[in-house]
Amino acid sequence: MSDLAELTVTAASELIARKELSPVELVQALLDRIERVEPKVLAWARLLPEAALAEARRLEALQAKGEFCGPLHGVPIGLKDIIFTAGVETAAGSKVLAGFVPEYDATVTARLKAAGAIILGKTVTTEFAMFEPGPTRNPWNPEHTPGGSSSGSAAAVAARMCPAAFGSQTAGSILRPASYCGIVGLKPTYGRVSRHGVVPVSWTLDHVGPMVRTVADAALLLKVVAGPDPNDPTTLPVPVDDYPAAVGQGAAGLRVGIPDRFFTEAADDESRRAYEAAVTRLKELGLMLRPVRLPGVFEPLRDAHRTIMYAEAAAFHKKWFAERPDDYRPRTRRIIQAGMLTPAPLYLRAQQLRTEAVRAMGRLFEEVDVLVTPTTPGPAPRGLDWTGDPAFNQPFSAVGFPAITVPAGLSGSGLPLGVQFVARPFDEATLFRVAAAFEAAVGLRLKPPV
Amino acid sequence: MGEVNWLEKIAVSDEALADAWELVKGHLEGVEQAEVDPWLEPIFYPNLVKPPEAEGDVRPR
Repeated sequence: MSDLAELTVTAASELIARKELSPVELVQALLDRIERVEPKVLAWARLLPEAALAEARRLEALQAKGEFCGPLHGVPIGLKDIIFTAGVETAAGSKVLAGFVPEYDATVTARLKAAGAIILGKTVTTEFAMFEPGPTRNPWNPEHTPGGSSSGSAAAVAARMCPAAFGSQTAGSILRPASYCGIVGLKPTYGRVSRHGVVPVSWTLDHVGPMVRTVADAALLLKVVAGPDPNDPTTLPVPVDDYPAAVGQGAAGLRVGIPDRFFTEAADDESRRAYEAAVTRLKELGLMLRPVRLPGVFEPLRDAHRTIMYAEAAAFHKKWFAERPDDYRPRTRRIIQAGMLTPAPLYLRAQQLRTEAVRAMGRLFEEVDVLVTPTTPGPAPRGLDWTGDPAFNQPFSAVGFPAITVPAGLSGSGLPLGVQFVARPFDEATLFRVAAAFEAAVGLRLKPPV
Repeated sequence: MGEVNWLEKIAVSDEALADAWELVKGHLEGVEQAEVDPWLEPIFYPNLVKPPEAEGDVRPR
């Protein structure tokens, strides 16, 4: 069998279900790949090779008997190191939580395991999923950031160290690193996926989602983890669609909104050209493109987002920060202190602005089925000291609408560029239809030179 | 009643406090200056926001 590290989640799952691939063989192939590649990428906060192999052997025995746990039986996955894993350190990229071992799995972890997934390890996160980078390099060029805060998850999947990993997004922390690393990243609707057992940045802005190499894989993983959770009361009892089925449905006739401002003016030339090529491709696919006017509240939404994020982060960190401020790195300290300085009436005003933005965007989505924008203002910046600009993703984190990034090409310097699609709340099925049609039409299989 | 200087509990130094204020003040000004209907009740979780027609008009007549 050719390189097992190239397998997508969907392909690995099918081979395992047909008994043509052993989970042990797959895990070992990935561990071999990690041994070769990880020193150049530094995607993993901690690896769990013995536990992963033991679980693979258990699942292989079940496979031999024709028993399968679920659609991810034997598929190795990484988890951002803010996602609780029972009995395994979850340090959130911080000194404060160094050595912290949760006693229970996050709901996402539990659902993945129940579906048969093997937890290969915990991936690097920026400190507390904010803006102080970890050591991870972009597999496309180690002098460039992989983005963040889900840095390790993006880099590990791009570098073929695992077929999938989970990340989180408060501003742009799934879509930005996914775009920078040339993979697919999904931020589901707020409340589609439980946040129980995930170290928060900002309770009303946080989302958890998959980072993978194909839209079909994103759909498969969302179906596994989505759904109401009594441990997270912000999850709603909205039915979980058959997302994998949506992937093959095509997108002709769907209405795509081209925003009138905000994105293309701020994008660099290469990002703008990739976006314009993507728009042309969508037209060729038979989608109905139309210009849309973003609501007036779109601009102040950035200020509202930051106000909410800083204040909620400060509330979460207040006790630790008071006890051990020197254990926080400078940018994280700055954010917490900034949140402490936020007057309550202004935090509430920011929430009013966000509420108005949700309503206004809901009205916009009466005219269109998806929006399309560049994912980031440009490719991954040079340097490892910052993780790039979440400006193009932040508005959709604020309003909680689902968004996905799909690779759209490479810049002149050989770095990936992505295109972002956004749908209305709980309409990930439409998002997958459009994203999959675009992905198939573009026909890219980006692989970094690592 | 004694004086409670809560800022001392949250700032590691005056410089750090000034720096944090620099980070946030622009955003707070943006929020302060934006047009907001004072009658609009903030809904903290975006997936609970309903369209206005679902909530009725709460303005006094």
